[in-house]
Amino acid sequence: MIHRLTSATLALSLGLTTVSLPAPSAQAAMAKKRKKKPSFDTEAHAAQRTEAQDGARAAADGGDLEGAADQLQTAAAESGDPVLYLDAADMILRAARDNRSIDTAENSREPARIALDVLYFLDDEHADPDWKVADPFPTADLITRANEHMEKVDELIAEIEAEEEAARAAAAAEEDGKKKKKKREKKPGTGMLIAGGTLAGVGLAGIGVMAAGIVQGKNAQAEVEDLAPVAPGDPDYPAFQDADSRGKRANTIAIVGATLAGIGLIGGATLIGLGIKKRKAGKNEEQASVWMAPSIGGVVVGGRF
Amino acid sequence: MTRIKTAFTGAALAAALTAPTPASAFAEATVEGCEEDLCLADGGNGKWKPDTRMSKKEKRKYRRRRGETSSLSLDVEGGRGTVFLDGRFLGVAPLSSVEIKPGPHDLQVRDGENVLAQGVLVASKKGGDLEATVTGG
Repeated sequence: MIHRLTSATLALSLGLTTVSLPAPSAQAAMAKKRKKKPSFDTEAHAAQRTEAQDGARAAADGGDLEGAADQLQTAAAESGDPVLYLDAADMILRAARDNRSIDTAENSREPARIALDVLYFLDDEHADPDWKVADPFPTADLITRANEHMEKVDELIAEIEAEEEAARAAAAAEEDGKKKKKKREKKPGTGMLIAGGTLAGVGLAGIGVMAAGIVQGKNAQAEVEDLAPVAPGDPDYPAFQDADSRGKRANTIAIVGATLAGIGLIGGATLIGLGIKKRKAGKNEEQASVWMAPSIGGVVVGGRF
Repeated sequence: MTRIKTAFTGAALAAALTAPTPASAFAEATVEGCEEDLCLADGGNGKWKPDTRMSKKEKRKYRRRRGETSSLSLDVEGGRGTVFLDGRFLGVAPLSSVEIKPGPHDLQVRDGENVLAQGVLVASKKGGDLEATVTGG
């Protein structure tokens, strides 16, 4: 047992004595290893971001918002920088606001979505801790910015849709007004033609009435002639008187019909004639034109009135 | 004593099943075709291991990769997504002909907070085309 303990003590002491300190050169190598340069150069990335932002700002100041957005998106796609993606989204939204374009506003969502993808990934355990692409901005702030962008897009789209709806309503009202005006502006002579037509109709009806009166009168006359001669007190006298009065009434009807036919046909024809004349005159007025044509040694001016 | 041993073996087995697959498993149990949220086109140029990630050791091992680069094309079926390779931004789907080094790569495709595909994509040392479709879009 003592022998065993002695061996163990010896082994321990030997072990302690053989522990060697790292040589100075090895120490330097270890320190170098510890201070390993990160694979993502934050300073260079910040410089690239600033360069892209400056270029985009210059383009935007020159009125080229789409060009500015393209520059930002290209730079963002190279590095995956969510800040540049959000800048691009803002620039596209600015263009949409200027152009009042819903499509452009919708297009501004995608860079903001990509920014959100990157930002959520940066908070994921699978992200490379050296890849500090959003620095110096906290990801939470940038996520808020992206979500606010989406809200701004919704607001702008609602605003543009309201404007378009108002414009449509105004256009419809204007169109309606034009139609009503057109309705009110009848062709010249229309009134006369309508009155003439109505009067001619009355005249034709008068002819009918006159014809009916003549037929009735003829029948009554034949009846009277059959019963004559009769004197008051004769058994046929009431029938004679009845036929006589019917004959007189038929004559009156025929006279009234003839008068109506005469007035109606003559008046109607006159008014129709005047209406046609007026319409023709109106057409000629519409077709009046002046024309010019080159001619030998000058210009010929002509017109149609 | 026997009981304790059995309990320990059970715990180790459970831990092995729940823990992410170790990097050494890349050589085996690799899958071509569709697996969970990602499909690889036939051609034998790559393998997909869903829901796994490379260990630090594996990352160190594959820092210097030898072999032909592969050309990765990736699309998200019926949606959109941003692709992250080895912990960094690769691009926005659809991606076409992006050169990737041979060996395993951590791949994640996400749409905002929603992770569409996550796993290890192994590119063949022979190179060639790698066509992937994310089906979780």
